[in-house]
Amino acid sequence: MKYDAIVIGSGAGGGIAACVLAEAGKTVLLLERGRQLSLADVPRDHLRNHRLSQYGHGTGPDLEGNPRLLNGKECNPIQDGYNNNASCVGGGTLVYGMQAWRFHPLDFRMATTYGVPDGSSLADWPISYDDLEPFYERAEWEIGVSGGKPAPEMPSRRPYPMPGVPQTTKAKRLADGCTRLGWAFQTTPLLMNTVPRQGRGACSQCQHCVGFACPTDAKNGTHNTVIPRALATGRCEMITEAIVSTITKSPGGKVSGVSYYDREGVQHTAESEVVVVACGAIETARLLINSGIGGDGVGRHLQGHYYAIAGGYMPEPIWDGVGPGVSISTLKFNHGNEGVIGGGMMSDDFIMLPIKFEKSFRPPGVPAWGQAHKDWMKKYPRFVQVGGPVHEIPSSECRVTVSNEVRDKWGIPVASLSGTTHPETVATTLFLIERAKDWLAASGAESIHAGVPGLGLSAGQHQAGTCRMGEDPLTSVVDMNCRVHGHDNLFIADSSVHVTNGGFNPVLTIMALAFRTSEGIIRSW
Amino acid sequence: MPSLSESQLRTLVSAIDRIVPQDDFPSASQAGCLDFLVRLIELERLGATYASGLDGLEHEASLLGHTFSELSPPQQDAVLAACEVKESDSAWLVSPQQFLRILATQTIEGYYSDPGNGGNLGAVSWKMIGFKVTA
Ligand SMILES: Cc1cc2nc3c(=O)[nH]c(=O)nc-3n(C[C@H](O)[C@H](O)[C@H](O)COP(=O)(O)OP(=O)(O)OC[C@H]3O[C@@H](n4cnc5c(N)ncnc54)[C@H](O)[C@@H]3O)c2cc1C
Repeated sequence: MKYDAIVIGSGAGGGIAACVLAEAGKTVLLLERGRQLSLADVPRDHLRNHRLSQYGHGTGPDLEGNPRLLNGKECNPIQDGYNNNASCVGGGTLVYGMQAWRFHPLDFRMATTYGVPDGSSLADWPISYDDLEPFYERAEWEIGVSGGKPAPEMPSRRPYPMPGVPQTTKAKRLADGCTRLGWAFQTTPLLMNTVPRQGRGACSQCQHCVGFACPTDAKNGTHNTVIPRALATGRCEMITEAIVSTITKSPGGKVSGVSYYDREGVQHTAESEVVVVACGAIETARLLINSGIGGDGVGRHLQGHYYAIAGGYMPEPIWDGVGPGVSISTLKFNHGNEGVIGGGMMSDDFIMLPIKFEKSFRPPGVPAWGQAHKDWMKKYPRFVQVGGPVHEIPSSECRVTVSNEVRDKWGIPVASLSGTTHPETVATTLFLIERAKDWLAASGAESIHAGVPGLGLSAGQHQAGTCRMGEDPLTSVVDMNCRVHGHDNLFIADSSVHVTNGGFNPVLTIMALAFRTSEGIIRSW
Repeated sequence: MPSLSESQLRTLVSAIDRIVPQDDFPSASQAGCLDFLVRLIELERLGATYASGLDGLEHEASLLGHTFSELSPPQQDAVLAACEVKESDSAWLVSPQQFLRILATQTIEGYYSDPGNGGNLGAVSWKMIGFKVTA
């Protein structure tokens, strides 16, 4: 049978593409290499989750048979160099932290606003904030966002569909700090039910949010919104544990379908009128390269986010256990920062697993074991951290290629990552770390400290940029409709197409683009 | 076959009780960290590393004329602290520094992670620091 469309990957972007195409009357084959996971499949194991993957993670890819290379060195999915995101139905959205940010209008105009630093590949997007605005709104309403008053920096026509999360004890102290400093602040928008909605419950304010699956199904991902909608049409068939190895090219620049392996390792082919790729920025680049599609530009400008974070201790306990824990943000430093390029949003953090606190925040001077270490751990309820994602200044040398030697368990050449971000990213991070310290100090925190960032590759959970959107086929991979240059019926609907990755968590932008791209496909069918 | 001998397990208990000592709250072994480590050692195939490291600790203790478990807590701390900064030693089959890092890291992982992992029985460390699971 020939499908109207094949969608590869069921994460943030792919789930939406499958839904829009199926609801428009198209037959869709949705291929996902991970599993469909229930709550019970994602245990509250503090050493094996997507917040701390010390010895594993319940949510894929499996540790055996799925290697990648970083700078020539082989690593498995829980080693740092892998730059993992979840692999399952819903992709990252099953376990994400749900921060639901629109990019700032200037995030789409970085080169025009700041110029292009030597050695960087900073560029403007070919589309603007206004082009994406209606689709941000769709993502907020159809996937489901809670929040306070939307930020005036990102004009919107409609409010959020649900009220914002309550301010935690910690957030109230941080709000006092903002007031003292004269900084505007807001409730953090989250892709989360604060009230029952779409037939599912509200957040139970538990302590296992980011990195885990939701006990009340209040975490709005693609797995519990658009994918069920796609399947309900009767026109979308989803096959899990099906990994696509190549996209099939046909004469005249078109593609005709895909080749994939099922869970038994048996190879199949499937045909379609249209193919939509949404495997996440690293795997999408790998798939295109393995298919001989897209030229030298594919895989370049790999980026994610540096995080500017500072921690400190309040004079008295402020831990109130109210999950998810993140509830206050400031956009004061996204742009207009003296002497640096771009900037980033800053927030408080999710409820911290004690062992995550231990591994991430042991200050200089506290020994690694013994009574003094135990005494320091007792300060946990006084701990507060603020920080956020820094707008990365990309480099074309930070890239995904495929390995000629290393293959995965199906025999497919694996992704090989190399390069570093541009030094300006580090400069902006250093600037924002100082602002994070200012915020903590003004809020009454003591013993404030922060790590020192070095030059590296930051793809990780916020990976983006490897199939850049642009008008010129020589400097970009997809056009402004996210159609791959030179291939009329091949589209990309994930973070790969981001020209730059904003000073915010990226998922709402991925979702908005996926709505826009899929509607465009239907319109031009 | 168990990867650690009876005497190695004795050394392990004494060592982890200096990594997380008893105060108003239990020590590592009192909270279940021995079981946690034994399971982890098997899962992560760390038997050889631990066996060599624990034998290394006994070697250091023998230089003081005792077994590691017989040393006073301050003496045990001094032995562990000396190992922590020693990159290699001809009497050791692993790097003392590396072994100390693994031992401290994994004991602390057991003590502060979820009770299901076995090293934080009754969520005792969470009670100590005030982390509560309400939903
Ligand atoms: C713990 C965690 C917390 C996060 N918190 C936030 C947050 O608060 N806010 C935010 O904005 N973002 C957050 N993110 C990031 C967010 O989840 C990602 O940006 C987003 O999911 C990326 O969407 P995507 O469609 O590009 O790819 P993904 O969601 O990664 O989906 C790609 C899917 O494709 C599948 N796939 C890959 N290759 C193949 C193949 N060859 N064949 C078939 N299937 C394939 C994968 O298994 C995967 O399911 C978080 C992520 C994690 C893991």
